[in-house]
Amino acid sequence: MWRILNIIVQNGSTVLFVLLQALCLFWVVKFNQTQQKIYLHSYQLMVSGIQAKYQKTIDYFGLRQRYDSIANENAKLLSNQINSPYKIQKPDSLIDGDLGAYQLIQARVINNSLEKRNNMITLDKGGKHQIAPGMGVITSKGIVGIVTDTSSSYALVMSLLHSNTNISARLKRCGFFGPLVWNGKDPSIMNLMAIQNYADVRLGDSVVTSGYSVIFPKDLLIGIVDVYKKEEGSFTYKINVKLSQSMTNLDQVYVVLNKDKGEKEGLEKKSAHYE
Amino acid sequence: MNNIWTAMILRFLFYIGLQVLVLKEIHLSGSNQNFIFILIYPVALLTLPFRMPQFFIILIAFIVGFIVDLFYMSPGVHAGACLWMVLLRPLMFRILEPKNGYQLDMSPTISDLGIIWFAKYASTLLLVFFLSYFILQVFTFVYIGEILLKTILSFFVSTIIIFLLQLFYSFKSN
Repeated sequence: MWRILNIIVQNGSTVLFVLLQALCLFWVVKFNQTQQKIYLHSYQLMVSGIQAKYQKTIDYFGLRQRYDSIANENAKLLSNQINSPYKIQKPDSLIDGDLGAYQLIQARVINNSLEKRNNMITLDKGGKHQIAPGMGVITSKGIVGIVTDTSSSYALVMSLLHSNTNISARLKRCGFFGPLVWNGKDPSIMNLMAIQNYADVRLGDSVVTSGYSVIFPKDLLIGIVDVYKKEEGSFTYKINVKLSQSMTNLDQVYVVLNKDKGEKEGLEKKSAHYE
Repeated sequence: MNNIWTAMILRFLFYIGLQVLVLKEIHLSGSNQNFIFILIYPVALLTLPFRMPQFFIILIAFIVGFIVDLFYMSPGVHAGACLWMVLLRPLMFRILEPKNGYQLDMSPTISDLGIIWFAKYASTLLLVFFLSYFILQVFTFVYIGEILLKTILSFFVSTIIIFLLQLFYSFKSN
């Protein structure tokens, strides 16, 4: 028995190399396929425990900046509160019925990447804080991604910087909407597709969420139009959108819980009967 | 014997910890796309002693790469690159063999074989590592220019850091 083991150890290194390399290639291919496949890789959430502890120890160095950002946010919320009595007096405020449909769950980013084609983010809150797959993740400045998988106390988020990202976005001034995708190059730029070339697009136009999906509330700022040009041989513009929330320094984020999600999805499912 | 193993495991823990907790967070190329990846843990595999069987070295390379992959959220990429690098290790030993051969208790380090020998040995294998790392990471030859640019930039920055660390070690041990 010992001799057989010895022979394998002496001659088997090439065989072992081929086997392990095949395993690596298999993983790489599997991981690069689609969002559903990433679901299977949630075992990575195991190491989140270590990362959370590490994050906790280095937190102290960034306390000043975090204090400032939270103070700014508080100031903005307070100003909203002060202004709210005047807003309610406007007649059209009654139409805005989805005011109470969204609830925000505060969370912090404990792992983030930028340099890959498909980037993922880990949050320090999970299933026991009511986070579930399919929820949107936002900050006070813009949107961040969509939750794809949760464990009991961590959540995995598909970042905007992912090849499967497809977010329904709208030009706020002229109302045209289309999918927002990332081309894999610059982490501060995304592309807004399918805007017809008769639309009145201008530099610096705000791009906001359309509110057609149940993931993000309506009219959240995503970014501004940075560059636009007519695409040769088609009827659409090629629009570069500069993200208002930089993906490079994410810390405090909010997960959007939509209470009406099931109802809207249930109703829309019935549309199949009429098509 | 036990002491050597403990020292080796501690060294691996040090390098992996440095890699995934400190160097992973460093983005050298400003706000835009990152071209410079500082990866220094491969040197822990390069300096394993001569007498260790290739079978174990391949196994160790896989495990080390797998642990780093868990932190980088990229299953198979680091592990695959480490495997390619240690596969070519015996070949480099044969090419660079000095006139009077190797002693059994040597390790391929600066203090045992000199700085010129180590420079040739480590830089070649690190180039193999970085090239296979970026090929596996991007996984398409459409972006071949990007792969080469990333390989060259990351290779230079990481190799300089590795050499400084190794020089520091060799001075300390002398």
